[in-house]
Amino acid sequence: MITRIKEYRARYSLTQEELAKIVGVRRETIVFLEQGKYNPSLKLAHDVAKALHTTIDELFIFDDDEPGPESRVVLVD
Amino acid sequence: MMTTCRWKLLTGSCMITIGVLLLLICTWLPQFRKIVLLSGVLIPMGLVVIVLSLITTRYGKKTEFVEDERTLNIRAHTYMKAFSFSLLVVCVLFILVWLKLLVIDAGMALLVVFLTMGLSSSLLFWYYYRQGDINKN
Repeated sequence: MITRIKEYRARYSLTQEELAKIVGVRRETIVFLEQGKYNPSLKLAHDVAKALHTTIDELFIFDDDEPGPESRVVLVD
Repeated sequence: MMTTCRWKLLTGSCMITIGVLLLLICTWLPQFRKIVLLSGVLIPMGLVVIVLSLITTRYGKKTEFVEDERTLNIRAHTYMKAFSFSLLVVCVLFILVWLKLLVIDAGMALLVVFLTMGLSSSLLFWYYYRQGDINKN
């Protein structure tokens, strides 16, 4: 999992400590989130995304976000 | 919400109070020597807890340990693992006693369980906290 938290944090000139305070977690949690070492809950992901004025899917990029052609589903009427 | 320092001060004060009370009433109780010994342990321990909490408040880090979802997850996972490990240790102890390879009394068995649970939970918490999460990505 890759996160763009650092990038968005820099955009809003927020430190890890400030973001942690807004979201209500420890600074280390933000550090591990930025490093992609911690899988947050949906609630925490939502809170972080809200604090950085973005959406969850903009912030968290999973390795399998680009599905192969065989895994694509075509919706037909 | 009470801070950790206040909790430590309260714990220390309670230990000293119980120690002093035990000393005062020990003459009326059986097991006189054991109670004196217990209060002799409780009072210095209470003093140590109070002094250490005052020192850490004065010179230590000002930040309180805030529990968030990550630390709570790690703590829950840690306690689960520590409990399983302790259960395993108890099983091994039981087998050793059953096979008469080891002679151990109840007090010592309890001490082994306490130490196993305490040490394994502390070590596991430290390990998972450094790792960041309980699951490796």
